[in-house]
Amino acid sequence: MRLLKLLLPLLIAMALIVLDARFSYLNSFRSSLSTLFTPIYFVVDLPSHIVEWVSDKGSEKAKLISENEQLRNEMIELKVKLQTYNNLVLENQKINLMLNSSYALPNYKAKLAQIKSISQTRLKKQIVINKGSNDGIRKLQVALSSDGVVGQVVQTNPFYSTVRLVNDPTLHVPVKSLKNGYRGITKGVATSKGGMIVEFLPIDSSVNIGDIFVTSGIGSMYPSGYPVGRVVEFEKYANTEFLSIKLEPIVDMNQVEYMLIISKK
Amino acid sequence: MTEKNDNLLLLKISLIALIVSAISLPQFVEIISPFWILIFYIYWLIYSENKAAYIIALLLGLILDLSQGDILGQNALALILGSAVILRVKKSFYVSNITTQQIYVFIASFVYLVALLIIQIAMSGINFDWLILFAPLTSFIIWPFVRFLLAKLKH
Repeated sequence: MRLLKLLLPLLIAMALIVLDARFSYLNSFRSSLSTLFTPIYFVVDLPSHIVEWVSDKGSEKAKLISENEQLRNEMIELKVKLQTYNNLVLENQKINLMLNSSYALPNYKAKLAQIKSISQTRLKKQIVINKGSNDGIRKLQVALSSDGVVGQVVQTNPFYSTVRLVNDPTLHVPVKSLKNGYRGITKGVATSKGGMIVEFLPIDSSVNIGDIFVTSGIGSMYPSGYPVGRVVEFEKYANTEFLSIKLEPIVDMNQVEYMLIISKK
Repeated sequence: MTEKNDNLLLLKISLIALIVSAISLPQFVEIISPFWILIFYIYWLIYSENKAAYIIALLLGLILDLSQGDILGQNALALILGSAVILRVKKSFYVSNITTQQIYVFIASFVYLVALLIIQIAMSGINFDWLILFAPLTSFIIWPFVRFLLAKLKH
């Protein structure tokens, strides 16, 4: 009887592990139950809310005026840059049409989200953001920062979402070398150094330290051309068909505060 | 402890454990941090006479899996096994000095860690930060403080 008391919960736990990890039967159950954790997330995030509130209230008028002026200048500067960018996009679209390329940039809509101080990183590399299904965030949407790819949304509830980072071992991103277009797939490494490896890059590919890998757009999940990582180490082992390449993420995950969650229009 | 007090303490301890587990720390600290849910649950286990300790461990573990975005059942399985260690030595635990209690907590945390890692390895290969191996040690170190604070909460 005593053994049964232990075995039954153990068997239930094991069955749940198999159902959750190997099949997707529990996805909807998980996402509806995760709503219940909103108050816990809110309590954990409360100190940062208070700090933000105090900092907002404490800003002096002069500082705000000066910031306003600076932002106006930056806006003008960005508008000028946007003209150049628009021309480049038009030019790119024309070239893509001519080449009938699979790298054509589709139209995406983006939502700005802020990282919350909620931890989910002991065994996985993921972060929680302040936008959820109420804001139109859906699973599998891609998160980008101003520097490059941050990761992918893996769970949502009405108020918060979880983004799995690009250096998580379970996340794979199709990439290509910015220098010569060789294509591979990244996979995170869960050591304390972090980083990623690029898989399936042929042994005869030309790679150098410092080369940038960007999203290739293959599979249409990630938009093409966004920086993912920089080569920090590579080896050519005998008797293998593929290069062993280590990347460091372009985005410093400790510095990111805001990100864009994008989806196709 | 009466059943009402027992349930109230469990509720308080579970909420605190979930909140503490969700607090964001520097990555290094976060990986080696104690298994909060386990050590808080151990405190409840040694005072409670509840017969459904494993079922409660299963539910608490599932709640943690949901809030942490882990595989459903991963922490649940680890918490059941960790609790089994403590329940096996419960009578001795209750009367032991603090160092012996710390050793029991270390063993339970080690079992918890092994369960977590076996599931992790089975699902995504040997791909985890080795620093996590220090987590039972931090659980060992933190136990006297947790015990002291929870004793205050209990009263």
